[in-house]
Amino acid sequence: MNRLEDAPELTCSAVRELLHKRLDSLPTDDASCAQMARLDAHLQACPACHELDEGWRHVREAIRALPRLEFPQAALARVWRATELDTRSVGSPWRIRTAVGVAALLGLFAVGLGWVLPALVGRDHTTSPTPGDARTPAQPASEPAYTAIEIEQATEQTRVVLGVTGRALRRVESATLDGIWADTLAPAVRRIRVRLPFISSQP
Amino acid sequence: MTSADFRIAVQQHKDRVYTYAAWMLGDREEALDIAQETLMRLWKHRERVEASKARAWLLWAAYRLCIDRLRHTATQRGAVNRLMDLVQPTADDEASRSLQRCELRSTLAAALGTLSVRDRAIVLLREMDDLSYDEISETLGLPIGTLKAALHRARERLRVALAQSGVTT
Repeated sequence: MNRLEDAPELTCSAVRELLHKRLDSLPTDDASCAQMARLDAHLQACPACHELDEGWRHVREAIRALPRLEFPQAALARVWRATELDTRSVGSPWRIRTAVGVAALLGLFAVGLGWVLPALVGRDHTTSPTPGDARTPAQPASEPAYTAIEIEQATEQTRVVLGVTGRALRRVESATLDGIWADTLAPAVRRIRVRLPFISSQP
Repeated sequence: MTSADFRIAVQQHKDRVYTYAAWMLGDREEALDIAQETLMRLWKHRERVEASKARAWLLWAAYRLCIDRLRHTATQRGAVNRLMDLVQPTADDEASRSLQRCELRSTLAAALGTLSVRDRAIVLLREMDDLSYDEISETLGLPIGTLKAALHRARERLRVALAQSGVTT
């Protein structure tokens, strides 16, 4: 037996709903094939619904045939230019901007630390000497600290050495402390560098 | 979306956005402004937009911008007149040399101009851009039921307008 003949006849209202679904390619219910067959049968028999079907298809075709505009190349270039400028300034992603900001702060902090820290260390070394401490306050970093007694002894010894050296220079015109005094000088005096004055050959 | 995704989205959808705005506003110059602004907004919000949803996002943004523009500038009658301007034949438009097709377009443009802004947006998104019900619902923020009723109503109005004019494709 033909199933179409058994099914109840579709109303015009139901047909119009189905026409929209078919136009929009929407899935119908489980019996879609049979339903569409009944829909087509209804359209053949009902001029009003047939006219609606034709008319709505006509509307769709007409809208799809409307002119499409082409976005101008000059406008596209403006968009690219604006995004590039934005990337260079404030438009870069927030993660990158944040990372750059943090790096700049760390850099400033490191520079500040490099400036301040030696001053702090130097202040600790030179200030607030304990009572009775006779060491000199501002020795160069590569030089050991001397007591006042050691300096006094070195000064006296240097006078003697320079005197002997001076007399030796009258004979040989050139000499060095090490060559004259060898290991007889105290270590503190041995570190003193004495250079003979430059003797020009010109008058 | 990444910067590369943005460039792809712009290349793919720039004409669509421009055309959509033109048919919403009926003015090429204003549509160009809207389209550029829409693309720039996508750039600004790209970190929050998935690449797969760029088209829907662009059409949504263009719709909002068109609504704002129309609130300030358009009257209903003015919208009809401007839409008619979009279908004026040009020298390089081969299809427009057909008088019948030109009449059809003019009639359709006039009929589109009589629709509400929302209904016009629905019709354009469905028939011209082929968005699904779900996509249109998401783009315009409308329930599916409201959307379907509006679309069916708009189709019928356009059909009647074309039928009364007597022009065919």
